[in-house]
Amino acid sequence: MGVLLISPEKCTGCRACELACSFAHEEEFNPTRSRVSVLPLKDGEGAVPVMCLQCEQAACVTACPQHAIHEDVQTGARVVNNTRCVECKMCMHVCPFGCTSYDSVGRRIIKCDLCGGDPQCAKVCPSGAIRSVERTTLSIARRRQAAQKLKAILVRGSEQ
Amino acid sequence: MTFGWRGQILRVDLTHGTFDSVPLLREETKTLIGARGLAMHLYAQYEVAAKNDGLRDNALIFATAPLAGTLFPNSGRFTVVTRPAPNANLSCAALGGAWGPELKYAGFDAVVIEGKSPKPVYLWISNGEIQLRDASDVWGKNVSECSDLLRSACHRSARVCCIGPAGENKLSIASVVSDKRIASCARGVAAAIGEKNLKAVVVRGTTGIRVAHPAEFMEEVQKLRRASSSLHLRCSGRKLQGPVLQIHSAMEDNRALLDDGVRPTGCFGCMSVFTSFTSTTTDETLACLRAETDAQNEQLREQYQFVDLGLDYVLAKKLLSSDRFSGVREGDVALAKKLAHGEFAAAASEEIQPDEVSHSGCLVGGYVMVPGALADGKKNDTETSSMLAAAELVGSCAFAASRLNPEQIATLLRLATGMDYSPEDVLRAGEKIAGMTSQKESLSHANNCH
Repeated sequence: MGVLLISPEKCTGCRACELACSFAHEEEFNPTRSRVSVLPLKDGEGAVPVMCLQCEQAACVTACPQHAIHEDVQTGARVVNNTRCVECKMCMHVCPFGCTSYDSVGRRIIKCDLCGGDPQCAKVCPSGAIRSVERTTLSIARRRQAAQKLKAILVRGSEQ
Repeated sequence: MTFGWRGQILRVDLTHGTFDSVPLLREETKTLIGARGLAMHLYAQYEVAAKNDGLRDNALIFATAPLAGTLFPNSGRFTVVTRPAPNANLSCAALGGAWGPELKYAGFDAVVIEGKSPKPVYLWISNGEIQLRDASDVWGKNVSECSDLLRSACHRSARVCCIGPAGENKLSIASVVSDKRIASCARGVAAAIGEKNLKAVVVRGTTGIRVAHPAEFMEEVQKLRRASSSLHLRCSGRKLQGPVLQIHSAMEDNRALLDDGVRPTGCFGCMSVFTSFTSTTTDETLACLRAETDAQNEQLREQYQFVDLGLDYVLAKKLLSSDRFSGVREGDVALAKKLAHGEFAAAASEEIQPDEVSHSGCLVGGYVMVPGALADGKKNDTETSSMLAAAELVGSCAFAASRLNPEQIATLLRLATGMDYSPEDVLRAGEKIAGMTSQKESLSHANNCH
């Protein structure tokens, strides 16, 4: 099962992810219908791509009065069943990351669904700011980064 | 015309405060495709129409391209075209950033602005809703302040393309600026915008761009993107002034590891990576681009202050270092402010004449990299110049052109628009545009070729 690994320091704000997402889901290039949003930081300091983090204990799942959001056991994504959904937008109110939104063209709630297991944003990201990785790889990559930092600190310390 | 293209041109009459939209016609895009090509074609049309009506007017054209705003590499370009003086050649300012794609998301391929507003105004385009709004609160303001104010007034995610005080005062060295930092100074363009009492064009779009053959387009564009993402560019050229580098050639850097090199920030769709810059005059090599954010900002500080005034940094510094300003005690930034606000205007016009064609630069690490091969019309060889021009005509930038060939462009154009573009069509369009730049031909030549 894969997850999206976000490395914001690599994001250049090119917005290819927004285009790939809207195209995969709506067959058009339209950042406002994308499930991922690229948020620019202060001038010149890059940007951060933000999408649903597929919480284990998702607030949106709990809050939905129609039980319209469920876990897709294949992909691990939290997916909206648009037939059960009544667009009450409680999920939008409760998501701590603001990652559920309302698509006014399609008139339905949209959120990242990991593209059924083959996330398109990761495929187009030119800098590796969004990568699709196995869950185990997720923590190992970060641990490796931490290990290198620790080594640098300890070696510097022992040299003094 | 609704695949790739949006199929609509917005026309604005500043004199009467009116606007309408007309369909974009196939004939208008056949020979010269989009961006500068489309703008030049439209300019000729509107010039003839104005003359026939017994008017003396100078149209101002903002034009994007069929692949702008799609997943085509580096696909954020648009061009601003006007005639800087009667009987002069057309001037073209090419810019990157997100403004061009936003115009397409709003539903338009181009905006034609005629006439002159009696009072300072800005144009606000929000999908199909068009407004000419009073700009008295932002007239005289710097680019960044103006952009922030207009975003608050219009929409927090709107894109702003504007002039600074320098353009309002019709300086020859004034720039058009998009997304606060992406600036281009082509002869007379910013001045023409100021002359019309137009401060800015603000755009917000929420409609999508569709392509004629979605699955095939995605497949081809993914292939192209995969081939492009490992390509690192080793550049050479000239250091122009401070952090501004003019790039004459960009070659694939085979030695680079996947993570080596720095990506530019700011432009929509950018896939470029730069590993180094070598000066052809001093042989100095900059391992470009490794500067930390603070060091980068420090290096760019002066350049940014000039851009914020709507002044071209290189040309303004050149002017300020001329004899006229020798012995003046004030620092360049203080002088630039006075210059932008109208003092020494005569000096600026007499002494420095910008080129007719100008490209905005890439913000890479602590540098601004400007593609030089097009800006000064130098030809490496005909095919290279044609490719560089052709990339722009479809909505991509010169740095992407280094890894594109006419077949790839033609294929993606065909799949996106559903129209018959061959590799020869693409090359020929690029050739015509590149030819105009170096030989200073006027548009009538292009018209005769249809």
